[in-house]
Amino acid sequence: MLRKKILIVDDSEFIRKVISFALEGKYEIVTAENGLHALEILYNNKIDLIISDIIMPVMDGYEFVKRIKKEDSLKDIPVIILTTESYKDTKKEFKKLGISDYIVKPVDSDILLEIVDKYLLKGDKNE
Amino acid sequence: MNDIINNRELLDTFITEVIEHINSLESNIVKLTNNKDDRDLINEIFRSFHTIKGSSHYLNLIDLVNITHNTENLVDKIRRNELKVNEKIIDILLESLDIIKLLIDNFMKNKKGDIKELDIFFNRLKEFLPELQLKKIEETEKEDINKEEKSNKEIYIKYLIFKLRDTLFAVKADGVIEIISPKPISKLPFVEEEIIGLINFRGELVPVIDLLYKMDNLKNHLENNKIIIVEYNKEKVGIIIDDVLEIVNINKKNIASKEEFEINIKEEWIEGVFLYKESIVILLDKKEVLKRRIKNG
Repeated sequence: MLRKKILIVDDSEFIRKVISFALEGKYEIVTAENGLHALEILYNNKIDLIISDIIMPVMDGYEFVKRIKKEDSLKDIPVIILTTESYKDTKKEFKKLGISDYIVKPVDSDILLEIVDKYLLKGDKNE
Repeated sequence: MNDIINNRELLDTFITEVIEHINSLESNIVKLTNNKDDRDLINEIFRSFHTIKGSSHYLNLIDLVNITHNTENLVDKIRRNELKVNEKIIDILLESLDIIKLLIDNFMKNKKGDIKELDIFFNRLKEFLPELQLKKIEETEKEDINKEEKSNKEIYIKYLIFKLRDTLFAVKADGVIEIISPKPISKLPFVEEEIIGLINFRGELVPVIDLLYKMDNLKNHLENNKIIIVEYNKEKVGIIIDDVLEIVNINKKNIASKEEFEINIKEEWIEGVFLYKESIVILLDKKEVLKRRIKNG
């Protein structure tokens, strides 16, 4: 069976590696260092889930998610925000954009995998 | 997270990246001396501290998290125009950078123990950042945010009650970013009647509205007013008020629909009404008050 593909968006190479490290046993990983780079990848690949940071140069997570949610071909891909921002208002703003989950870094790799599984193992059932 | 500390490749990436950020901070802070208002530069400095913080958190390097977190907050204040860059601030930033270097150096050499410079630094930082936050371990804030899911289902909601010309209003407290004294307001022609003008709030142009614009013209006597800045979906608006009265918890079932009262403000702004100390309070619908306003940029 073809492995599901996860796009990790974070400007820190270290964080991209840490997250890849947690998920690569089970999923195929693609990474991008900002929102714009991530959009390019999304246009050219079939991605099953996105994990994105918020504060990034070039295009931040907020703008990135806003763009995804405007595109019919992308808006149904589950988005998990993985951030050090623990402000409730930030979380609310993202929830309003229609993200699937909001996780505060650092997160244990087992827990992250569990959350990702929740979205990717449920087949084509929605929400 | 123990698996990270034992993974050579991840550790190398961590060190390389932190050193890159230290180098870029070094040159950017120096550049800042001559370009004190350069937004891009300030944003870049902010992101560097932020990234070091995020990565250090994964390795549980608490001293490093604390210093980068608080320095990031200081830079954030500059970003929001609450602080202006001056020599003292540049010194603080350089001092922070020196301690970060020391901490990384100790980490690479596997040296443990307290660094006395840290306390001195935090004491100095307090002058600019009274709300200094020192964490012991990261769990508490994550618990908070997980708890929030549950509290959303509670029927009690916090509202900020304020007064404008003998009328009481309320907005959901969580959308209120700040209450400020009037700043210079740039008057604007050709916009909706309720907009008095624009103010510069944390570098953003924010429209200021008069909820009771239908009643009389406030434009010429604003000296004693305050402005509350409310945000919804990244849109901000300033609302002219006379004074803040209180923050109250209101049970949702005590909010009546607006049809039951006659109110002299734009109807779509009203979400409902409730009684507070025997007075009627108009509950504003944040979404509507913030709708169709001038966009920034």
